[in-house]
Amino acid sequence: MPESFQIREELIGEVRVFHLKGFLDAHTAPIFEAALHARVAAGSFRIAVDGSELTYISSAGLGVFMSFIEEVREHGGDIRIGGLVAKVRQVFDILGFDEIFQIFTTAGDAVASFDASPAAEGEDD
Amino acid sequence: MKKIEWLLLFALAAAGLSYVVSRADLLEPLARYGPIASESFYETTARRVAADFGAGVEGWAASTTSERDSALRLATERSLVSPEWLLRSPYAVTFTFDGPDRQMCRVTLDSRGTPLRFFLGLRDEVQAPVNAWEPDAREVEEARAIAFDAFRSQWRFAIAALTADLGFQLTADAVVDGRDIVFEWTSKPGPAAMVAWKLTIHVRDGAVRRFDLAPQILENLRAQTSSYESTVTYGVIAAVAIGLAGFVWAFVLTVLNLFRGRLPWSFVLRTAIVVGVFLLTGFLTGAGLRALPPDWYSHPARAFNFLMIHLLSGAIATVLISAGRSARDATDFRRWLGVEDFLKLDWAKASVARAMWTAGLIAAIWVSAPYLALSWISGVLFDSATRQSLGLNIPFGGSLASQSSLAVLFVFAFCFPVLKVYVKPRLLRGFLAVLLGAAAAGTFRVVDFPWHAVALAAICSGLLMVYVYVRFGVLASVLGGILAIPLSRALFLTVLGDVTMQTWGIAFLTVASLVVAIAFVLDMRNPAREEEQQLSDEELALFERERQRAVLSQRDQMLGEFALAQQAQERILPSQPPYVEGFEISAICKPALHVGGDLYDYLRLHDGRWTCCVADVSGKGVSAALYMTLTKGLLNALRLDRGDLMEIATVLNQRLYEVMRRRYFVTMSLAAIDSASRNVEVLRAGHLPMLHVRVSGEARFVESQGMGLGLTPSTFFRQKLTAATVRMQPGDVAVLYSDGVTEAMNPRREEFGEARFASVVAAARESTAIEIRDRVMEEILRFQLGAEVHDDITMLVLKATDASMDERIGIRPDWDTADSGD
Repeated sequence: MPESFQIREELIGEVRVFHLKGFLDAHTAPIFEAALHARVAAGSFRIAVDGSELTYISSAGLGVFMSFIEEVREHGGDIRIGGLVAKVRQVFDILGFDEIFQIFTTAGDAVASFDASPAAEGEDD
Repeated sequence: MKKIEWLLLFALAAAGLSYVVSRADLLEPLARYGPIASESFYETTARRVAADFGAGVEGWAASTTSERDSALRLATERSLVSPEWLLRSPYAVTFTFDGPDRQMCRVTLDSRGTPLRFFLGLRDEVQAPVNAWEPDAREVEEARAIAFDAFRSQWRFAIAALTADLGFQLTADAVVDGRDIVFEWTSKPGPAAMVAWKLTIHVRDGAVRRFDLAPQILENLRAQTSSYESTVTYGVIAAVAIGLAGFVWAFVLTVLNLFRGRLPWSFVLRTAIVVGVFLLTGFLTGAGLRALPPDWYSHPARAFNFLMIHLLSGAIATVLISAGRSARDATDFRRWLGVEDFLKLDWAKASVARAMWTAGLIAAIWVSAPYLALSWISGVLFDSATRQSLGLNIPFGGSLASQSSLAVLFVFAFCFPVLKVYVKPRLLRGFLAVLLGAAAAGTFRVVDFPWHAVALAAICSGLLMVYVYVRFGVLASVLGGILAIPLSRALFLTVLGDVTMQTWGIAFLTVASLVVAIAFVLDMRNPAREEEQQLSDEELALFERERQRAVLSQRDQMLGEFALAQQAQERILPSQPPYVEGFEISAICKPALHVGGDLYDYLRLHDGRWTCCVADVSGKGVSAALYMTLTKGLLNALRLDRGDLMEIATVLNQRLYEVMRRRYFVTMSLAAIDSASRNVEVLRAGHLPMLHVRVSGEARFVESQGMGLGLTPSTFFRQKLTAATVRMQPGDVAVLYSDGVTEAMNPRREEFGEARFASVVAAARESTAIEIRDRVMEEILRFQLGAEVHDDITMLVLKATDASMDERIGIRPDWDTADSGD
C-alpha cells in the first residue's frame, strides 16, 4: 500500500538535518535512501535525523541507516538521531540500534551534539 | 449442474412461488372449518369490541346467534355483504347485548374473532315521522362536531379491527333522515379485501343515536380489480418471485462457500439472527393470527403479504451480508455486479444470481413507481372528492402504499451500501434525518393520540437515528430499508394529511427499534464487529481502491518467479515440530508476499536440548527470502558442534556480518528447552522478546539484551548479548513471534499491539499449542479486516504440559541437564 512518507531537509550550520514524516517501510525506504545517498555522495557527513514525526519504521527503514553509517563515519562524520516517538524508539532499542547510533531526546540535541563531538565516539569498530 | 439446468430450476421455483404468492387466499381454508375457540372466547371478544366502540355492555344481557345460516341471512337480507364474501369466512357469531333504556349493541364476529359488523343504537326504534323537520345551521354544525368526535375516537379501532390501512372518506355529510342527522364514511378497500367498510353515525338531539359499522361490497371495485391484478399485482408478484429465486440461489452459494471454508461460520449465526428477526417481525405484525390475543386483529392474506415482505427483507440482508465479510465488500457496486465473482465462485453463476436480484429490484421499482407518482400527484393536487370525480382514485390504495414501500425498501436495502460510495455521506445522513423528521412530524400531527405512544415513537426513532448515524453498516442499511415503510407512510401522512397511517408507523417503528436494540446488544458483545462498523465509508472505499491497485501492480511482475520460490521456501520450514517431553510445540509462518523473510526452525543442540528458533530478515520480498535461506543454512551447520546458545548466536552474527550487505540484518530469538528441569533458556538477538504466559494467566515479555545479527562485528555483538532463563510450569505458555504479529495493522493503521497479543494468548492459555497458535492467527485476521498484510507473520508456541503423565509412563530424559549459563 502506498504510504505517506515525506522528507524535509534542512541545513543547520554544517549539519544536514533530515526531518522524516510518516511511514518508513519497505515501500518508502528507497525515498529516504536516495535522499541520504545524494547528500553523502556530495560530501555531507554530519547528518542528523529528526524522527519526531516518524510514526512507523520497519526493518527495511532501519537498514537505510545501516547502509550509510560506515561510509559516513569513515569520513569523520556521523548519523545521529533525535526526537523519536516512543514506539519507534522501542524498535530501535529492541534491535540494539541504540548501541550503534547516538540517539537523542530531541532533534535539536542531535544537531547540537555535532558541536561537542563531530565524529563518532568509536564504540563502533 | 450446468447453467441451463440451474436456470430451469429457477424458472420452476419462480413459477411455484409466484403461484403461491398470487393465491394468498389459499390460506383462507384455515378459517373454513368452523369456530376455532370456545363460546366464551367470542363473548369476551364481542364485549371488548363493544367496549372499544364505547358501548357500556357491562351487566347487559347477552344473547348469541351463532348459526351460520342466520349470519348468512342477516347479511344477505341487509345486502351488506354477498354470500360469496361470507363463504370466505363462513362461521359468524353475533352477540346482541341488551341494555337499559331500549339501548342495544350488536357485534358480529367471524371465526377468528375479527369483527364483521358492529351496531350500537336503540332497540325497536320507532321512526318519528317528521319529514318536514329541517335542522338549522347551528344544529347541523353541532351534529357534525359530535359525529366527527365519535368517528375520531373510534377510527383507530376500526382500522385495527378491519386490517390496517383502510382510509375512511366522508361519503355522506349531514344527510337528514327523520329526526336524525346522518354522517357516513366509506373506507378505501384494503389490498386483499373484496369489500369496503361503511361507518354510519346518526346524531339526534345532541347525542350519537346509532353507530353502525358494516362491510359492503363495492361493485365497481370488482371491475377494477381484474385490471389491477393483471398489472400491478402480477408485476409485483413477478418481482417478488424473481427476488425469492435469487435468494434461493444466494443461499445455495452461501452454503457451498461455508463448506468450502470461504466464509466464517459466525456468518451463519449473524445471518440467522438477521433473518430470524425479520421473520419474527413479519409473524408478529401479521401472522400472529391465533397465537396472539384476540384483539390482535388480522387477515391471513395480509399476514401472508407481510410474511413475504419480511422474508424478502431477510433475503436481502442475507445477500448483502454474504456479499462479503463486511460492508466493504458490498460497497463497490461494479465489482458486486459481476466484475469479480460472487463469493469467489464461478463468474457465470454469480452474474445470474446478481442479474436476478437486479431484475427484481428494477421490476419492483418499475411497477410501483408510476402508481406511486400518480397517487402522490393526485393527492397533492386535489381533494378526495375532486379525485373521485376525476376518476383518479386508484384502486387498492392501501395495497399501493405497501407496494411502493416495498419498492422503497428494495432501493434502500440494495442501494444504500452503493450510495454510500457514490453519494456524500452527509447528503445521505441528511436524507435520513429528513425521513425521520417526517416520521416524527407525522406522529405529532395525530390528534388525540396517546402521549406515551408519541413519546415511545420519538424515543425509538431517536434510537434509530443514532444507530444509522453512528454505525452505518449493512445491518443499518437494511434496517433503513425496513424503516422506509413506516417512514414513507409518515411522509405521505405529512404531505397528504391522511390520518390513517399512524398506528402503522408507530407499530413499525417500535418493532424496528426492537430489532435495533437487539443489534446493539449483539454488536456490543462482538468487539471485532464494532471495529468493523466504526470504519468510516471514506476509509473503507479508499482502502479498498488502494488495496486493489497495490495488489494488481505487484502481482503481474512477481507472480511467475514467486510461485517457484514460494514452493522452495515452504519446504525449508520444518513440517512437524519435534517431540519434546512435557512440551507441546506448534509454529506457523505466513509470508506477506509469496516469499518471506521470516523463519522458524527446531535445532537439536549438541547437549541434546531442542531449541526453537524464530528469525526475521530485514526488508521483504526476494532479498529477504534469500537471506532467510542463508540464515537457515548457517543455523543448521552450527547446531551440530555447539551446545551454547550464546556461541551459536555469536558465530551466526559473524558469518552474517561477513556476507550480508550492510543494510540487511537478521533478528532472532532462540529458546532452548531443558525437558527435565523445564528451564527454557532464551536468547534475543535484536528480536522481539519472548512472551511468557503463566498458568495463572500472568503475562510478561522476557527481557534480555542482544543486537540484531549482522549489524556489528562479533566482539561487540557478544558484549551486548545476555541470556535469560524461564522456568516453565505445567500449563505455562511461551510464544516466540515476529513483528508481523504485533505490528499487524487494520485499515485505520492501528497496530495489533503487544497488549492485545498477550491478552489473546493469556485467554487461550488452557488450549493446546496448536489451538493457541490458531486462535492468535484468527484474532489477527479479524483485527486486520482484510487490510493489506505488511509483514510476514511468524509464531512459535511452546506449551508446558502436565509432567505427571510422562513420569507415570516412566519416560526420563536420556541426556544431562544443561545449565542455562553454560
